[in-house]
Amino acid sequence: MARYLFRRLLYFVPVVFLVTVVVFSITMLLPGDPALAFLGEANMRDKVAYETMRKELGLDRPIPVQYAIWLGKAVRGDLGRSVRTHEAVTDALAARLPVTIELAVVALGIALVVAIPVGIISAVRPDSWLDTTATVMAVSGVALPEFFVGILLIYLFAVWLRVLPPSGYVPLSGGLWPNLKSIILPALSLGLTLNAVTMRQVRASLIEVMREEYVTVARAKGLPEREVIRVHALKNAMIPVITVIGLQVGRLFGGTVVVETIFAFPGMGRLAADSIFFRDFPALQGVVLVMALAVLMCNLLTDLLYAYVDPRIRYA
Amino acid sequence: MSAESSIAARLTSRRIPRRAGSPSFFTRLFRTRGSLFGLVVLALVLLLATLATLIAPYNPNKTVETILQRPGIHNWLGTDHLGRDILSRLLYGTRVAVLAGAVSVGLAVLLGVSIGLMAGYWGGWVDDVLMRIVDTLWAFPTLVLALAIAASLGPGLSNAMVAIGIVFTPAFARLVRGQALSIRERDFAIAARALGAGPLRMMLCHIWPNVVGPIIVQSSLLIPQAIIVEATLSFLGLGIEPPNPSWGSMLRQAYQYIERAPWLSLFPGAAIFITVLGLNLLGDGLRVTLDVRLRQRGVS
Amino acid sequence: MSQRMRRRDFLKVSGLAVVPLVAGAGAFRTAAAATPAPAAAIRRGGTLIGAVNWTYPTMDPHISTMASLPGYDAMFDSLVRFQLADAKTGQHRVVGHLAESWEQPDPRTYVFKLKRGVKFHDGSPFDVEAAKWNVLRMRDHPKSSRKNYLTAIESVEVRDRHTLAIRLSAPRAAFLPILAYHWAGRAHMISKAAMDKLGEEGFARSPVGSGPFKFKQWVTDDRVILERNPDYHETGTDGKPLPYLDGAVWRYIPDPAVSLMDMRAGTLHLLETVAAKDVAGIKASPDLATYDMPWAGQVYFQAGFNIDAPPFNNVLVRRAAAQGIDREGMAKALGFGIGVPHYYPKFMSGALGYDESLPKNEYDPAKVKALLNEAGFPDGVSIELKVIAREPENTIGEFVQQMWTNVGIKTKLVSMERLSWIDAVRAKNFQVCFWRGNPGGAVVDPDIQRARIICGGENNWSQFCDREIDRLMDEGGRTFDPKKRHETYRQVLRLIQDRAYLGAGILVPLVDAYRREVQGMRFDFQVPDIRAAWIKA
Repeated sequence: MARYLFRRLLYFVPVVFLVTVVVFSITMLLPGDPALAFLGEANMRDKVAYETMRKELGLDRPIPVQYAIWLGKAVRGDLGRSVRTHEAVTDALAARLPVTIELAVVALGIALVVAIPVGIISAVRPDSWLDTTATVMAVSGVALPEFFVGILLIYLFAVWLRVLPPSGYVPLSGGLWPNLKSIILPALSLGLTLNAVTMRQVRASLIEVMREEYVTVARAKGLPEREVIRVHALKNAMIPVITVIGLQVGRLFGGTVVVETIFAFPGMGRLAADSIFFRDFPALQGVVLVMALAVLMCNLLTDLLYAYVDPRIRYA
Repeated sequence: MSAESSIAARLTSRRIPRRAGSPSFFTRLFRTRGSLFGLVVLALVLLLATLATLIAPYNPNKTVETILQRPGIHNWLGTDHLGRDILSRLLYGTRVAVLAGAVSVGLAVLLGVSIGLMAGYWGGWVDDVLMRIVDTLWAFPTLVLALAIAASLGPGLSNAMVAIGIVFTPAFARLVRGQALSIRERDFAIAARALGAGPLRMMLCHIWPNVVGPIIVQSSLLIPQAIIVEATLSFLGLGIEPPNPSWGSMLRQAYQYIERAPWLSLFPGAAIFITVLGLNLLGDGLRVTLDVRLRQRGVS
Repeated sequence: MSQRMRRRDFLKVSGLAVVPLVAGAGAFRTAAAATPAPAAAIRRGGTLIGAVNWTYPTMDPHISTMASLPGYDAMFDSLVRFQLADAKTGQHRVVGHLAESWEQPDPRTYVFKLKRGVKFHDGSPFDVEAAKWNVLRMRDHPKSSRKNYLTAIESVEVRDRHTLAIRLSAPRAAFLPILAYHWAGRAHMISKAAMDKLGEEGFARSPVGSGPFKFKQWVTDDRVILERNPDYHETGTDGKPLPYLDGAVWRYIPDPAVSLMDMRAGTLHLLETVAAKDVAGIKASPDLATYDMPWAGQVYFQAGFNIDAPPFNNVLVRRAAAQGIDREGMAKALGFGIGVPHYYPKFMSGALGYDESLPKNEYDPAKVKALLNEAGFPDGVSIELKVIAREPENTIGEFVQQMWTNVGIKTKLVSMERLSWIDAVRAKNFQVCFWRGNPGGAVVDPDIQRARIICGGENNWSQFCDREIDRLMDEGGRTFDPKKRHETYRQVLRLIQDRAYLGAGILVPLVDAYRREVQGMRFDFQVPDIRAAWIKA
């Protein structure tokens, strides 16, 4: 196990390094001068301010030097200052990460609380009305883009029924109930695909596992069906489910861009979108870096978890 | 009937009982209702896309009626906020969707297969370097990367397709590399190399035929993904330029009028939904059929 | 700009009448009182929640490129302000705020008497040294968004503890309106002590002013949270200090569809800048009220032609394009019932120089064809129209593309990312570009439009250059006689129209909406002023 961990970490490091290079280059590739972005249309011909901004942002240096400076600072925890809002990028990320994490956690929570039980029941009673309904919904769920689901939900619950707010994030400090009300629609939009995929995977792997010999043996021993499922089948069935959920984390981050934009959430996804459109290089570099690292961490953790649970992998 | 294929078949929909005898590929594919639906959708989408210019009742970019008309006799699906016929725009949007799906995945296949073949065949440090690059791309959330690349290339459908193609490349690269690695060690491959077969011959004659199946399956799953990503990019303001319609950009504008004209959002959304659903089901069906056949042929 | 103001200046300069001074102070006192309401009815408390559709770039008002966002006025007082003089014509007068009154001993000098007993939120006093430091900072700071309007300031002198003298390098009739106008040189007063203590970056995130509300928190891209300043120097009708509200929150909601839904749901009290398409719906709603500000309206489709590149280097082609603008059609398609045709770019009704007898360059497809013929393009021209890829520019662009193509000016719409558009326009890499213009500056004073009209002007985006216009603008800026100025600016407008440097589509008035429970709303030209606002139970 330790050897496997070591090997994976060894591969992890150069990838992280390459990620920083890609993050930096992408922002450099973005056409458009960030100094101009700061000035905006109103002051685009203000030469004095323009020169000042360029110096401040270090844009007058050659690119590799800029990269080295950026990386050096980043390692020490200084990701620069946002051109758009003047706050330190680390502060901006620190403020936004909890919002996105809460959104992701709620989406994940719905998956655990809804998708897994539904998947189990579907597997245990295949072809029942529940199974058919759930499968249809799952298959449909994957076909709906997040923004369309968001629009539909907003129309249904905020415009027509008027029971939920159409936008805006209420932090926990504003009360648990308002917080939940503000987060339920975006979490549903974000997590629909995750839920659909999880449910299908649970159903598929449970059905497959239940056909294995040791399950038949357990049944033959006279154990009640419920215990057969719970003790023997479920654990092994969950392995691919973990993998699938882990792999979906990357998709979740991408989904936050759109969902946070529609629902006006001050989270990482929206910061990424705003930074791209505004050419806020420091913020963009910070956001994409954090997102990429998070995805890498999740992939690594998923791999490790998978290897821990399924010993066959370690020796591959 | 192996356990996996029956489960996979269940996943798509109910199976129709089959005849005796060994059925052909297409017969098996048509068996499952899901893939039949998917095939119909694919045919319909391709047909509409090809014939859009002929059958659209109006010019999609011209104001033809008063704005925000409900669906009616003159405009079957109503008009948008500039008075343009929604049905025509929807039809032209089909072309965009088909292009977005086909071209971006085609690009991804081209890039990914090349990288994967090289990495898988040569192994060693070539493999390490290429795969690290692929892993790096893989580390970025799909939409964020597509957004950044599309933004750097500028607005426009072709730029969006390039961006999506780049983002989907790792999927194919890994797939092909895996296949290439496993095939390299097989007896027939070793024998061929011993007989003096060069790398190109190896790749084309031995690796490629075994890789085609999974590539087709992966493509069929990624094409609908590409359509969704293109729609999302258009929704965020990148992608196709105005006044040309794409389902995503139609939704972007429709959202502004959600209170007054909710049907504006319904039609492009439904179009995306049906297309992606159909293609997904088709992809599932393909996966089932091809997997079973591959298993039967003793490969992979 | 109000004729009253002009006459008063003229009187002062010629040494007549002491009355204006008192009138100035009197005007200030009336401005301070809340809209008429019996003291017993006013209810203190509550938090006003407003929505803005642009994110705050910084909390430093001198550097901010969006100084018209309401939060700044809530936190910072300024030397002078606007008061609506005539709702029909949109004429405003400049009234004192932290500067109680002023006189002009000679055309180039303004002597301001500052209000006494004003403290900043950090306790430091607002005195003449603070005022001087503020004015100089606005003029000299390299990133100041005000500096282009304050270049005429030659020196700032301290006369005594409450008297400040500003001397200009040349007479500038528009100086006072410039000090009040948010889109020019609005003189927000900030605390030097706080700046010294926090530094530039610190102040930009944690500002200190003297306004009715204190800064509490800024959640970037989401909201600015303000709380009541209990030591504010103005009093309400109930004898206690303003403001009546306990606090205010300014939420950033970029999507008008979303903010509208919040308004209807009651989770939003004030919506700044209602999208044109939503105005009719809001007016029809019994819970909501609107405040219409035609003088602060936007010209949808303010076109700028590149006069140095074909085909628009030919004045005939420019005129053809200007006459190819179907304003009625635009009003119908994009104006949603509140947009009106606008014929005179950079000027509008209520401004000096505005004269409807000047050529309108009205929509006339036959004329367009004739002009194009005469210019040597019998088969029409093909042009590219560069537009920023966002709403409503996209929609406007799509409409214009059809409109011009219909009259023989085959237009290709080039939708660009904001930054690329700015790059292209800056580099004069365009044939025609457009943006949404604000001619309201002309109503304040046509001299404010200077930077948008003169050769090399900072805000002259299409970079057209006409020396004759420059000369006239200089002349108009120096004169104080309203009649002479009117004639001078009329000449400028005539030149703009004859030579068709710019085109204009429709004027969409600025409309702010608020829930009917909100009372006591005032507007400082176009910026919501909530110091005397209160919420009915």
